[in-house]
Amino acid sequence: MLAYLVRRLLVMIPMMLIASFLMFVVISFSGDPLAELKTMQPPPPPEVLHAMAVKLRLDQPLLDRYWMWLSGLFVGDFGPSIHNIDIGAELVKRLGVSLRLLALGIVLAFLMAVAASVIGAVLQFSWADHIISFVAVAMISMPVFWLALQLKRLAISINQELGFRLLYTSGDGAGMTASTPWDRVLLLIGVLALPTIALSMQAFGTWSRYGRVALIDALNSEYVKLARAKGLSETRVVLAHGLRTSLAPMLTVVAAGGAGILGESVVTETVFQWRGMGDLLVTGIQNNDVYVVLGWLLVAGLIIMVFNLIADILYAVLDPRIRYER
Amino acid sequence: MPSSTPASAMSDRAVEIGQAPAQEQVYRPWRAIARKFFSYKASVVSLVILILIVLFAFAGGPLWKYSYAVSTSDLSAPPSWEHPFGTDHLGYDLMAGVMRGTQRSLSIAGTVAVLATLIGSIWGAVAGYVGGWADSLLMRIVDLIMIFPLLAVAAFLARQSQGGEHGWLLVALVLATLSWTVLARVVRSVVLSLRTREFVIAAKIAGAGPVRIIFRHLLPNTVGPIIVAATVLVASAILSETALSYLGFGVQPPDTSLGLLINQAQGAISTRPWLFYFPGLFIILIALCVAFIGDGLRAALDPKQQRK
Repeated sequence: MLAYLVRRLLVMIPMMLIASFLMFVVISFSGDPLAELKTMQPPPPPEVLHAMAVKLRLDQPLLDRYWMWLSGLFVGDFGPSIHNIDIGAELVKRLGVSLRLLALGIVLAFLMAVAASVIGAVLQFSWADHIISFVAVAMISMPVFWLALQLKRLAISINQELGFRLLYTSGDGAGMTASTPWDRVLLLIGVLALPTIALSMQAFGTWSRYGRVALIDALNSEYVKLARAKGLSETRVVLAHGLRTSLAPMLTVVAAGGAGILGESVVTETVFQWRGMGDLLVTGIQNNDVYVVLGWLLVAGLIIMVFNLIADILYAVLDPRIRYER
Repeated sequence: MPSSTPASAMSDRAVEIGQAPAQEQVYRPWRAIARKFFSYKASVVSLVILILIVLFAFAGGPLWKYSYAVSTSDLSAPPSWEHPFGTDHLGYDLMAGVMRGTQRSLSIAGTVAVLATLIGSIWGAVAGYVGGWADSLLMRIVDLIMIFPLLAVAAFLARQSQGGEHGWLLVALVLATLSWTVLARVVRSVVLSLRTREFVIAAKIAGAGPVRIIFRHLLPNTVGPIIVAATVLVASAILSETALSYLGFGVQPPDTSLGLLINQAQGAISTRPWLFYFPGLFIILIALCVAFIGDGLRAALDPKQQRK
């Protein structure tokens, strides 16, 4: 297992290097970061344009620029920004905000998907199964920003009913303080509840559909028949023998959905006006701040790779038939 | 073939004496698949609704009395007979907007599905059939593209080339170049299982080159999985496009799309809720219908799956 882990981590290094180069080339060729500055009225003086080009290293050849960027990364320098943002520091700060949402959203989606697939597989073709299946398909078909806006609307009326602000419809909680521990918990719930639900629903829909099929397959297999024949209780059969192995194929789907969830978190954060990774990316793209976008994609790629690695490790833990040793 | 009269007389007689007519014995896989597909109620209903939505979007625009680009004097009107979907604060008729937006969103999703299916299936078939280092190289490229969140890369690329009358086409091209990877993986796995089958070996012995084998023998046999994956692509392309337009990096005003309509309506979340009910409803309806059609196709194309 340890050897496998080391091998996987070592493979990640060249993968990330190639990916970063590919990304750098695509982004460098896709447009001129100074295009907007050049079309400004009145046009800025040529010295300003030149100084900007030098600052963004546009006077250097592409390979040199890539090398400067890559070597800078090792000392925490993520490259120059049009708006003089310290990209590295900003990424760390924003990541802290966004990881809370991402982690909670994934955990919530996974737990709901597991619960839904157990109900769907054990009570196959019952009304509960049909309702859950329909909700799952509806959630897959629902754009995350639309769901988020609906939740916001719902929260406004809930707050009005309660007479105080329980659910926050905008902001990530930064700058808000609470005096008592109870208030702090309430604030945390209020800030996180809506974005987490909005983010988790689409993933829940996809994962529960795969989970249901995987669990039905597992419950029809020989080892589950054996477990039943041994006289184990149905709960034990379903949870310890069926569910455990069916979680493994489900994890592949979860891992494959990592990039998608990261994209949806950008949309969710935008709806709820969080100052997280999503906002950093959106304003970075709006300002054509290429090194911000590059840094963002690098972090996103790393997160997804680590995510895939964790899924593969859990895969082996859950399904005893899978062995990574040669 | 002899003239039809004696043949039909023959088959009539055959029916009379209790034998199946000869032409019934010809195996027509596509007819069987179509019959199976049409036995799934949810898929058929979805197909009908989707066709109605397409008609509404493409034929409705020219027929409807208001244009998405011309404002009326009715400001912030809730849904009524005059404006079935209501109007916004500038007096634009929302039904005209939804027609245009659906048209754009459907065009983008359709273009993405066609392009991504073409690229992905050829890529996957070549990787699966050629094998060896070429396979490794091609599939590592797929892995590399999949590392990055599609929405983020698409937003950056679309931002670089936005605007203009053909802005929607650029959005479609960007989404297509990023979303064919799923197709490549699906087709490769099917081709891997087909490449050692007898008919491929026979074609090779008969002297067929790799191009001919891929296009004439392998790809036609992967049509089933390709169609199913393509329907998933349509649904995800609709959702990606609307998300992109919602963020402001997709279709640009004065043109409109379903995502952009919701973006423009979000300030009026509690005062003019109809402004985002209708565009949202259309996105969900399209994605739902495509999903159910895909389910029906999957079941109809899968010989292992029998209807209970």
